[in-house]
Amino acid sequence: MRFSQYSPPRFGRLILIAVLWQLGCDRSRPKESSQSEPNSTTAVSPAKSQRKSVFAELALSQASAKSASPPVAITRARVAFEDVAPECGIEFTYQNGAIGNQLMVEATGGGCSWLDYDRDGWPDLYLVQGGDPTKPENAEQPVDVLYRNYEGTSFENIAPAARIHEQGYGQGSSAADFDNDGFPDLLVTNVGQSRLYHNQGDGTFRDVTDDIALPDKLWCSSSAWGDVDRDGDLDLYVCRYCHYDPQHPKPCRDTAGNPATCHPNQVDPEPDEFYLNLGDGRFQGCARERGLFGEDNRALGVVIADLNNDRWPDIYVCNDTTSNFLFVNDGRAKFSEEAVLRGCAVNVEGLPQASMGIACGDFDRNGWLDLYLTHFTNEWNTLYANLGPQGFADQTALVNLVVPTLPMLAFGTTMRDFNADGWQELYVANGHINSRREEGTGYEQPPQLFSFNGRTWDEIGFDAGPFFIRRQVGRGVAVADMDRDGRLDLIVVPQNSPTALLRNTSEGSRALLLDLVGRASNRQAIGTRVTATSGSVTQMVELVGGAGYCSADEPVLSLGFGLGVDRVDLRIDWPSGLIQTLTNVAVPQRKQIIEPFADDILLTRTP
Amino acid sequence: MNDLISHSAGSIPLPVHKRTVWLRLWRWLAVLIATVIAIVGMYFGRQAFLARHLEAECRRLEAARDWPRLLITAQEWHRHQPHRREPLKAGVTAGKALRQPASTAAFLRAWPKESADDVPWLSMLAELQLDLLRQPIEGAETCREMIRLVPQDLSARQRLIFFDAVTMQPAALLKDVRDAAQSACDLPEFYVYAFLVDGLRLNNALERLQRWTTPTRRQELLMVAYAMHSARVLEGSIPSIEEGRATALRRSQEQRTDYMQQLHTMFPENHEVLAYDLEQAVQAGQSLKVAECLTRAKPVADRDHRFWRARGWLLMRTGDLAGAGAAFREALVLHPMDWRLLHFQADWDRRSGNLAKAEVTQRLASRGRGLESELLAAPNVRLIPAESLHRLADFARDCGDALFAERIRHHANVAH
Repeated sequence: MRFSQYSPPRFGRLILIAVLWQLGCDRSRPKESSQSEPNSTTAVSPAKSQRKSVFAELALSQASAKSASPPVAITRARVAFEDVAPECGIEFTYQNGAIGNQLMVEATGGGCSWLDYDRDGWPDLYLVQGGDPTKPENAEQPVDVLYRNYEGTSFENIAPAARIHEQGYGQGSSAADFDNDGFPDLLVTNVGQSRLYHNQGDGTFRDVTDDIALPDKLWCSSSAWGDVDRDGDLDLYVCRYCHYDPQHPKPCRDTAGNPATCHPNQVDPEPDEFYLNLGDGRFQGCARERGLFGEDNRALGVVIADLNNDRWPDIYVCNDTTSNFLFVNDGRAKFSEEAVLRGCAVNVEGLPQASMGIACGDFDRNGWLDLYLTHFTNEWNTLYANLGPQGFADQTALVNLVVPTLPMLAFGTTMRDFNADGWQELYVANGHINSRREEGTGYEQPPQLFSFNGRTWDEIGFDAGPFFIRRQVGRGVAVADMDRDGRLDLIVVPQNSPTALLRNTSEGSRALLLDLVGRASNRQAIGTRVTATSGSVTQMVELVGGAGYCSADEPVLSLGFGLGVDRVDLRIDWPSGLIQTLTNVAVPQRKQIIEPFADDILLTRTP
Repeated sequence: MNDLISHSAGSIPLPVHKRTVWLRLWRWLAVLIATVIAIVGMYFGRQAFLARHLEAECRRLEAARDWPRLLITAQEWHRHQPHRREPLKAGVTAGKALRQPASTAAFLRAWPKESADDVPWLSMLAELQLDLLRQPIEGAETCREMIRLVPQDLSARQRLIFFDAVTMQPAALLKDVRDAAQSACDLPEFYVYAFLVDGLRLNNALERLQRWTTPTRRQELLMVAYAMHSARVLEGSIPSIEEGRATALRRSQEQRTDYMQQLHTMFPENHEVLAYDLEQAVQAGQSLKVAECLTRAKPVADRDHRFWRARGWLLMRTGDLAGAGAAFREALVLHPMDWRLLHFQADWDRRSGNLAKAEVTQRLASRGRGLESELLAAPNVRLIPAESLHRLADFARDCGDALFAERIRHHANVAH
């Protein structure tokens, strides 16, 4: 019988009405007993007899239980940095050459790379230089520098001795041993001709740009190395920003008629390029053939990492003002763009943002690499949490990262465990693109430092040293343990003010640092994943390609465990597919691990 | 015995003095009745006479174009014959001639609302209320009356939907647009309003709201709408060039904060203010605040897609995927073309392990976002190009809103 067909007898109706009336009265009357139940939803409901919305039924306790869960109990050591650039002999200022014309290219340069070019065990430093962007390419310009690291105490510019005379209008650089000879090589991205320098192993570099058919004469920004076909040599992804000639710039003006930096959508996009390493010293540009192509792509940041845990390197590209790309590797080094599918193309509001730099790490320790992207003023930097098979979710707001970054315009960033307590920190370099911007946080902006407490991120820069109140136009950031004290240091390159070398003076424990040497895998071991277990805690780190902004970190993995942990077990997934297990590895220490051959140890080979 | 029987069965003859009393009473009664009839007759006669007189007088005054006296006479006539339309008509004529909108509206408000013939007069009233009289809420009610009498009255629907849009009543707007679509009595702009309901920026809204808001009346609806529009217009005026954009954004944010603080103080229980708080809380990821806002919702929120959308968001955060899915479905019923909701839905699809569906939904959401930018860039809602309308129709179709899709396509074809 349908409910609507049911008709109670007349007398019954009266009783029904009376009962309903009574029920209605009971509902509208505040119950005395409910006042003694502080968790009851009726305690927050106004004691009015009016009908409530269905939403009022939603129990607050459900949300509060979720939100009020206490942070994971951790022993937090203070994170601190000290700028030691002057005393270490680093006196470098990136000059963007701005004279008030507000050229687009002036806004983006300032990359840096750590590379142990002489293999003395101390990471050296390459810093790109800008100059006058309006000068022709062969005109005399300030040149890039290569600082040799003398045991973490002093640095010396040995670029001339290393036969590097790079005077292009520099944007960024990345170092990688593309020919597996054990000596890291160097790619410099410029506005104009980008260059690849081959490390000859004798302390000098040779410009092999023409030899390997690297025809980029466009505006290139970040670059990343990774072995996407897992054939044992490193391939290269180069972000090209847009079509813009600084010698004949497109005029853009603000509403007051003053010269203004063009908005990205006022210039034509330039598709990125991917260079497949053919293994014989040559590269083949094949972005489109490999599926590494998307519409309206003005890329500024890139990372090559295994983002879907299938052991094949994927490529994530940060696009300025348009949707980001996630190129998923199909296992044959062919890619499909799946950012939309996996939820990391646009932010939680469905809006694309002005993406610049990118940090990559497993901040929530769920075994999947997460992404942190830096953005424009009034756009928060976005944290895409990798949920695993369910893809990504913008969890920025849920972990308290929206508000602190809204007033900032951020470029370089990195996610590392600087105090070795087992949880990640985020360093963010800020600085506006408009030199006339005097309102709000201004043209020069202080950097930011955040620390994850197991549930949310806390801003800790105010307690991390005087450098964090220094206003700069921050761009590139790169990480290295430059003094080999077991703590990760930073090089920070601002525009038009001195470069900072931030020595890590954090309290607490030291990290387990792993120098990986590939044999079947690429020698630099980019793409290697290490899972460390200590008691019930498991952490995963991967040596990713790229990340940051126009910069490259020292290729070393670091793992922190806090105080009281002296032994851990490691599982190492090499790009070749070999899985190596090490037990009872002492911490802290810096340990070199050479990829074993298949016969050496009991191995498992992944597909 | 027979006598006895006849006496007991028949009437006993009254004594003479009693018969006289009765006769006298009957006579008095007759006189009384006659008097009453005469008085009533005289009254109605006089009324009829007066009415005829007033009618004649009105005609004379109208012919003589003596509007002030016609106004007074029409009032008198209407008092005598409240159910007749003629005195009202005379009064309206006088009021219009004297340019006294309040007097005109007073006659029009008394106009019977019974048939389609009454609609032109109600239309006149609505126009006055929405314009000169600054009584937009009453004007909207008049439009609803007109639509009840003549569902095909396009101007009434146009006015009503414009009112909904200007006063920022998303639920009412969506409902009124759907009613119009069902009656096939619509304009393309209705669907643009409906699609943009969460981010609507009307060029003339502020001016219109300013005009409607009177200093003597505390009109919550209008004041809240004014603040909301101000915030959106500020957002919309932000230059696309980097220079100045940050400043404009900052100024806009500060002003918006000011507006909202004032509104919170003045109208703490207002539905739109609550909806604003709710959306801010969702954006900031504040689960507790979202739950608190939802708990404070009034029954009107049950028909508001934004509250269902926020509920879905909250439930997804608390891990209740089934509950979140149900909330999103409710929201989609209320506003199938909500691309923001589709974006959440895509996230829900991902969490449910359906990545392929998530991609489809996300792409649809992105299309919606692009379409929103495209439509907001149009100089005027009535100047939307046919191509954009076709895209809007496609979007409505892909969102499963067959009715809107069909109607928008119809208008797009006409525009071609």
